[in-house]
Amino acid sequence: MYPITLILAEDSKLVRQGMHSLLDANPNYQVLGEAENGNEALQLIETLHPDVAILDMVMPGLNGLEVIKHVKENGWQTQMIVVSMHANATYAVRALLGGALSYVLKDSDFTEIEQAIENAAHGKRYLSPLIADDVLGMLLHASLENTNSLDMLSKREIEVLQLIAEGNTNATIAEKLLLSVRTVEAHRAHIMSKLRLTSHVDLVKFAINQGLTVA
Amino acid sequence: MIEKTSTILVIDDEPYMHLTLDAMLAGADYHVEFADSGMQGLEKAREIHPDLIILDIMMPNMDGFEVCEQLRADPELAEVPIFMLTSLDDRQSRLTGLSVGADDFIIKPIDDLELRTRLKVLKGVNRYRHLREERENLNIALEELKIKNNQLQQLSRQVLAVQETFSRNLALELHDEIGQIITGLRYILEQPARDNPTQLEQARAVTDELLKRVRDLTLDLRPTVLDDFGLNAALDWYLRRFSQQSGLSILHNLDPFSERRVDKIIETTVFRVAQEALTNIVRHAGAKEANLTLTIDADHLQLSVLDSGCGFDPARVSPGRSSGLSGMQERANLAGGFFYLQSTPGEGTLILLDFDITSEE
Repeated sequence: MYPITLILAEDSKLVRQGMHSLLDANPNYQVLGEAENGNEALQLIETLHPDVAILDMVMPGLNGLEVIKHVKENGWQTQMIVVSMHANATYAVRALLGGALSYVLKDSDFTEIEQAIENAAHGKRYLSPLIADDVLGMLLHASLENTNSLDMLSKREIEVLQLIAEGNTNATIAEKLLLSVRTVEAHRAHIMSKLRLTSHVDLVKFAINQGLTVA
Repeated sequence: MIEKTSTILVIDDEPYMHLTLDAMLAGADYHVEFADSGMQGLEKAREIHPDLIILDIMMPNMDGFEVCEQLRADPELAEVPIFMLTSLDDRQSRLTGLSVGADDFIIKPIDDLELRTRLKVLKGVNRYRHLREERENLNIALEELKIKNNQLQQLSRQVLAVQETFSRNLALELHDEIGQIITGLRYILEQPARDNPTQLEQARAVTDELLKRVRDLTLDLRPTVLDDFGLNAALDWYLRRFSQQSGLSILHNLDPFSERRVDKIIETTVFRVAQEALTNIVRHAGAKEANLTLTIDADHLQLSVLDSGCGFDPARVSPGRSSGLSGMQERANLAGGFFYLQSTPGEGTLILLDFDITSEE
């Protein structure tokens, strides 16, 4: 198992050197090579078969996400840890869904990167605690998407949904239900938000599937 | 004002009438032009824009009534005074002449004195020329105004584009250069810190703070997530950050995994309007909850931001606030979008932003 073999892909020389020297200081690690862009990283992974690749998210040429995609497509066994400046769950989730094992923030303690490498050697994930909450929130939110049902809507909302699906404008609906346009829009917005619908077409499809209207 | 000599166009197929009218009018300071047929008369009228047309009725091929009708139908000539030549007892011709747009009639045989008096009575024969010139000047001024207006719009658009590009570049610079340097510095500090904790720990705490500040600044300037993943992901991220900072609870329909992209200018506009709308809710509406929806179909994109706060009367907004509102409106217009705001005191505010994105498909 030890030493864990690594490659390091990072376009900033300063960061790369700093990280390299910290990795070198740990006898459990053996850094096989450095890459300063995505293409070089791919070559290193293909030729050196490291246990772990540490990838920067933003690099010239191929970025981190694209490198991950290539590695996965080729079925290479190297585990990938994304080390990123982006303390943003969106980037983390995209990297993880793309096939990265772990996502670590660059400005977290170096012990986090060590932990991520340690985990990777055992095929386990690591996520920087600073963004873990957002990442989980985002993933859980996404998984709720399939539970769409009419039960989530109030009676009034179902009424508005039906009228929208039948092709009525907010103004017409307001007239029919004796509501203000603003209130109708509020109902529409609540429906869209509750059901996680992102287009008008999806809203109409939902109404059809629920038998509220016919295609 | 010195008036130009008035030009009179005589349309008549009889050569003797040319001679007669020339004799009567040329001496009286009128410039007289002649045409032998209706067709030629129309051509000449379009060419010289006479101040008055004297038109015979009985002509081969195209009679005077038809010429008169065609003159009236031509926007350039519709206002030129037309005198028709008729015989004394020809009531029917005069009626038809009036109906096709003749202004007056001259009875044949022509009485020299009567003709000149009629011309004098027709106040300023070249009234028509003035009208035409004024209209042309107006048209030129209008065209210039349109061009200037376009230039102004173009300029505003450029200002916005430059501002965004500048922000984006500055953000990139901060992120890629300064941010990276500080990160490098941290790694350099890390190793000795393990041997000599206290002082170097402090140095590291400072760099951490620096890094955080730089990152916040970067995000405020231009969120990279907007460029990298588009509106859904960017707004999703922004809403989370905004909720944490402001305490506003925001219901929304955003899908952070959406791959849907639209025109960059529209993405930027929608993002900035959403930012401004949410900021207004926290600053002015006093609402605890808001609802933001982004709807993207094949042909339409719509952003809707609603709050149930105190609302306001759009006709009476404080200057500070109105600049924010007009800013949203302006951004929307410049990007070709439709901006709609509805607010009533006590009933909250609704902001809608709509784009036709058909052309992108």
